[in-house]
Amino acid sequence: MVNNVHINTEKLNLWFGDNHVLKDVNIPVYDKKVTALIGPSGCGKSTLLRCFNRMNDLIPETKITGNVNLYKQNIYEPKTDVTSVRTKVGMVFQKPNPFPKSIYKNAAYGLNIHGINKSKINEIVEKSLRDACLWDEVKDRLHESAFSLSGGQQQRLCIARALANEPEIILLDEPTSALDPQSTAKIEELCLDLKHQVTILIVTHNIAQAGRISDYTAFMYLGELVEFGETKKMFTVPKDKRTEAYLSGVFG
Amino acid sequence: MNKFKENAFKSVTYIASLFTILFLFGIIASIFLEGLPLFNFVKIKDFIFNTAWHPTHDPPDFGILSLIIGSLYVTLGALIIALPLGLGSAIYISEIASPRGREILKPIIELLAGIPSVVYGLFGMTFLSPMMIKVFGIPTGLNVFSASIILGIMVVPIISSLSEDALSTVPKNLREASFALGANKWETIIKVVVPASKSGILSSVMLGFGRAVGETMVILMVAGGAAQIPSNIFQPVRPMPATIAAEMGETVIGSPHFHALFGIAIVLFLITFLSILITEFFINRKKSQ
Repeated sequence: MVNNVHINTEKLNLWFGDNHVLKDVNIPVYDKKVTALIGPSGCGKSTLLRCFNRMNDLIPETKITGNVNLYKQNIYEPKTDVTSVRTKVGMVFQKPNPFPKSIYKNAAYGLNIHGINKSKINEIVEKSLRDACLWDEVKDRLHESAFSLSGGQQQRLCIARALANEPEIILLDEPTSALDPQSTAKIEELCLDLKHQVTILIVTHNIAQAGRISDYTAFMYLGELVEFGETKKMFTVPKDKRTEAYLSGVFG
Repeated sequence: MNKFKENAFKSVTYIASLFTILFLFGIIASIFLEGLPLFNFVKIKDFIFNTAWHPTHDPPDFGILSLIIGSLYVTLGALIIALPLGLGSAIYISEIASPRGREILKPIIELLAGIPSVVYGLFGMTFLSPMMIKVFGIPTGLNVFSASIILGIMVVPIISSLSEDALSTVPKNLREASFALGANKWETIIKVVVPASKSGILSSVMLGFGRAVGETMVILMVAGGAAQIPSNIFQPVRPMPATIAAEMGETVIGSPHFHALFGIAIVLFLITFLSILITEFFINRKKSQ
């Protein structure tokens, strides 16, 4: 099994004001694999996730040192085109956040922004809705408001919306924490399907979920990357005491 | 004892709110009471659709179409000027300005709303009007265009502050979603933030309309006062509020002219009432979304 590093961090440090949130994080994310970021609340896993598409830029008084390399190209270099990074690295948020527009317009949003021509948009919208396992449920009502969908469907629409940009990597920030078990199962299934096309990095609070869907797991604690490795290995023989304690539910 | 206090407080606030309703209905009743007798002299159709307003001629003409059109012209003109300025400044304050810039700009725009309308009128008469004559070489600077500009400036703070409220209540997660899809700030504002606050912006425009259509002093001083349907924006007009204000002092109480002025008040009331209903409709539609 050959694993290519798709995106990785080198000595990544991040501060919000005086608050040192990420400490010397070095983490590889492998091509076409699912990598799970786990750890207790406030350990910095969401913040780390948001470094991969520079979403932390939006928060004032953020200071970042170190590198985040997308195929060896540091995305924090001054000359980086942030919008192109965010097109290559898609993101799905914790709470489903469709735009107050029609289902179709939601899925086509990124394509419209990037000036793709109309006939192509139809094609890609259908493909991404199919890839997000939503097509059959919405094909007859593409022009209804996205708010007419259930929470789980809205989240899959958000995944479709991200897929429409044909990203290389998708970042998922606790995508199922606001959903019921059935919708959660659908999204997990979707992740396993999608890893043939894209690299997936998922933050999750749910240890069992990480076990079910991820190939690699990273355990974070107090801003540090404590342990990184194959999920199977880490879940059976964790190297670090803190990982073991977290996985066995001593704290969380 | 506490129970007594509570009841007393309840009744005081209840009576206060009852009074405001009482005043409203009192005013509505009085304009209808004094306005409706007009239709013993003039048919409603002639009153609304006749363009001749000669209340002191013998026999008098009580057609207010030119006054209605005068009002609509200056009001629409004001909105055409105020919408881009108001919405533009709202977008700047809510989306682009630094926190410090916001702190400076917001009160300045709100200050604009605090200037008495007679001061705006003075400015229009003594600065804007002579400038119009010089720049455009027209016989009078008191016309639709000048009135629209001054009214427009008065409406800017209404549109600006209400639109700004609407823009800033757009949830952060929608902006994040847009940025995460590779949109830049400008695209996010135009394609997500503004459409998401559409109903708030529309209701700010309707409130601005209500303010402009009822404004009296500026119109009286700057619109020129000729009861005619203007053929271009550099002609003077006599909007409805200006007509009432200018003529009420010179008319005999109980005369047809007196009742005709109340008739104009009814029309004005219905227009503003309608604009408030439309505003409410937009606000409610937003809530139910």
